[in-house]
Amino acid sequence: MPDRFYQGAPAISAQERADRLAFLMLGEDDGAALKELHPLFVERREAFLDAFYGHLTSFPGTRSVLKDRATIERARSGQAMYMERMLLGRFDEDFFNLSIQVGLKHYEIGLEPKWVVAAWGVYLTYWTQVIVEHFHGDVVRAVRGLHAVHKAILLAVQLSVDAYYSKTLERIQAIVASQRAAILELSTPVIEIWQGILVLPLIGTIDSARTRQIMENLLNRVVETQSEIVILDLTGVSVVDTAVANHLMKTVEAAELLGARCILTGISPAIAQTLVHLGVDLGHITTSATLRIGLQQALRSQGVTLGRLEG
Amino acid sequence: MPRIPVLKIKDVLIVSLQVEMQDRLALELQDDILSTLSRTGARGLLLDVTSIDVVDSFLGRVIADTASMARLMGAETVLAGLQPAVAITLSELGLKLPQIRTALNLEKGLAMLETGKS
Repeated sequence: MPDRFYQGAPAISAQERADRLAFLMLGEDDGAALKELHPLFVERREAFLDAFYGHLTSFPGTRSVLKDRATIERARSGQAMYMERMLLGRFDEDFFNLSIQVGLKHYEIGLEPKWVVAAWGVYLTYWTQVIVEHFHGDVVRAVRGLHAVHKAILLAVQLSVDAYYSKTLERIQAIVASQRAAILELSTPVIEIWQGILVLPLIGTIDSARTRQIMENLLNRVVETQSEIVILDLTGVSVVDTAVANHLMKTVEAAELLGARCILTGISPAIAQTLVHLGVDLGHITTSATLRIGLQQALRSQGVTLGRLEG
Repeated sequence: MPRIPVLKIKDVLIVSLQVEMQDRLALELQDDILSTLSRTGARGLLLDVTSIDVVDSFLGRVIADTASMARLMGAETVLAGLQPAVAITLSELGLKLPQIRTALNLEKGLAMLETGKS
């Protein structure tokens, strides 16, 4: 079987395969029992598949996936092949991989695990009837066969649902990662508001990952623009705790090492109270209540005065 | 082992760190700077670190010490052109450079030393 089928599927080691089979109590005996049922399946295959797909297409949830005749035919032959493989009673690496592939296929066509599990239930109902009938009241052999079928089906469900979820998880993780990157990018705009003056408006919650990004971004911009003054505006920051204050101090120190001076603006009453209660020492940093005042200070220190035009 | 030149322009010593700073090289440089200071009586020391990508705690300590020593010998130190990544490392190491003023580039650093004490 080509390797590409297994891309993104969970890798299952020999040890784990053995553990799973042991947990399910699926052993050699079951394999033999299944093998015994193999001719029975081949004999009843068409009748069974007709009934099975008739059932699936009579419910909207599964009908929406089995859109057309071609899809049904493909699913049907895949299903027949898989059942035959299962009834060989060999739960080796090949069977595990095949089962995972089935799960990946379900993911691909959008067949949710709730339908998969229920469909196997339908299968089981059918098998129970067929097996009980076949063994004509030989209870021991019937139970033995039923047990084996049960366990094999549970293994198949387990593996295909595993694969389905690992794919789903992968997709969600990719989405989360891209959104996180987007948020980081959006949240750290460094604005050169005047020659030699940068403004960094901080917005929302600041955590360690973001602070690191903010710091790097800011320092790079300081060097790029050769700015001597950096205004960190906290107007959009709702909560400041010790960690955030610590991060801010580190940013300020690093900027000063480059030769820039920092001004902290937008200190709201709440933030001022928190900082004092936390005992955070902002030391020698210039601070102000509003960005406006901070900007005035920055301009003045750059020797810039602003005034209305005469007339 | 290369030696880093200590250049004198007017009243200022200019040292540009261009190579990877081994511990021994850093200590040798400290000796060179101090002896040149004593020989010339320069009033300022300008350390250009534009091309330094890595500063470990040892080098950071040597730079801080050199600045303190130069201060004792009557010269003020300005550190110019520190790279952002280096600044982040230093601030994360918690290394303070209290005796050192910083400048964005060599030109601004020189201007700081020439206008004298601020």
